[in-house]
Amino acid sequence: MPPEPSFCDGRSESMGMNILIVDDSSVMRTMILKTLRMSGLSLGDVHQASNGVEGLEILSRQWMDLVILDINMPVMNGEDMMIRMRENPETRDIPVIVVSTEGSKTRIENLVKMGATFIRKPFSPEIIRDAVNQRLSTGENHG
Amino acid sequence: MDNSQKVALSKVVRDSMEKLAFVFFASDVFREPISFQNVVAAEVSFTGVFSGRLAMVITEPALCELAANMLGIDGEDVERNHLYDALKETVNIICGNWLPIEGGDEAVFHVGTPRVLSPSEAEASLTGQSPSILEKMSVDEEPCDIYFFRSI
Repeated sequence: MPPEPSFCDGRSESMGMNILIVDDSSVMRTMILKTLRMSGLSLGDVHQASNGVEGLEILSRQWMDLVILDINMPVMNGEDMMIRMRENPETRDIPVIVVSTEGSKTRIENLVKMGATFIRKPFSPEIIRDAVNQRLSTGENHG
Repeated sequence: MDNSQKVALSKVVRDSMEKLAFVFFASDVFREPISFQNVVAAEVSFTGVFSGRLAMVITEPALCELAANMLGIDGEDVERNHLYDALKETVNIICGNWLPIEGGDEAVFHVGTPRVLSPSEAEASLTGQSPSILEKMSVDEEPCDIYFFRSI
C-alpha cells in the first residue's frame, strides 16, 4: 500500500529539517522514521514514498533538506531516481543517503560518485543518526 | 553441501537479525526441516554472475516477534500486512548480505522483489529441487529455515 505523504507547499515554516524517506517497505520506512525521531535531530516535515516516481513527485512540490533512499524498488528504483534528481537544477544539490542491501562494490561506487552516502541494511540507529548529522552539517552534496 | 557455506550463511542470518531487530537466531541442526503447515514463507530471486533464490520459512509467532521488534511495538499490535512486509524485508536483507559473500563483492547482482508464499506454494517451490544450502535455525525455540538455491 503506498504511503500517505503529507502535503505542503514549498519550504516548511518549521525550523526542522524536511526529510524524504523513499523505500518500498513500509516496515523499513517506519524503522528509519523511528530512528530519526530517536536521534534528537530537529525534524520538520518527514515525507514517505514507496518508489522513485512518488519520491520525485514529492520533490517537485516540497523542499527537502535530505533524501533517504532505497535502491531496489518497483516502478522506479533508487539509482534512477537519484540520476533524475542530479539532472534537475532544483533537486541536484539535495543530500542523499542510500540505505540498501546492495552488495556490489561497483554499484555502490557509482552511487557515491553521484554524491550519496551509502549505508548497508541492516543498520544500527547510530549509523543512520551519524550519517544524517554528517550530511546535514557539511552540506556536502556531491562526491 | 559445503559446511563452511552453511556456517557463513548462518552468520549472515544471525548478524542481520541481531542488527535489524535485536532478535537472536541460532543454528538448530538436529531437527527436521519445518513442515509447511502453519508457517509463513517468502522468497527472493536474483540474477547476476549466477542466479538463484533465497527463501525463509518461519512460524507465525517467531515472525510476529521479529516484526514487532523491527517496528518497536508490542506483538499484538502488529498488523498482518506489516508481518508480510517485515518478512519480505528480512529475506531481502539476508539475500543482499549473503550474495557478496557467495559471489564476491565485485560481483553485480540484480535482486528481485521479494514475495510471500502460501504454505502450499512454499512446499511446492522449496521441495521441488534440492537446495544448495538448507540452514535450520531457531529463535526463542521457534523454528526458522533458510533455503538457498544457486543455479548456473
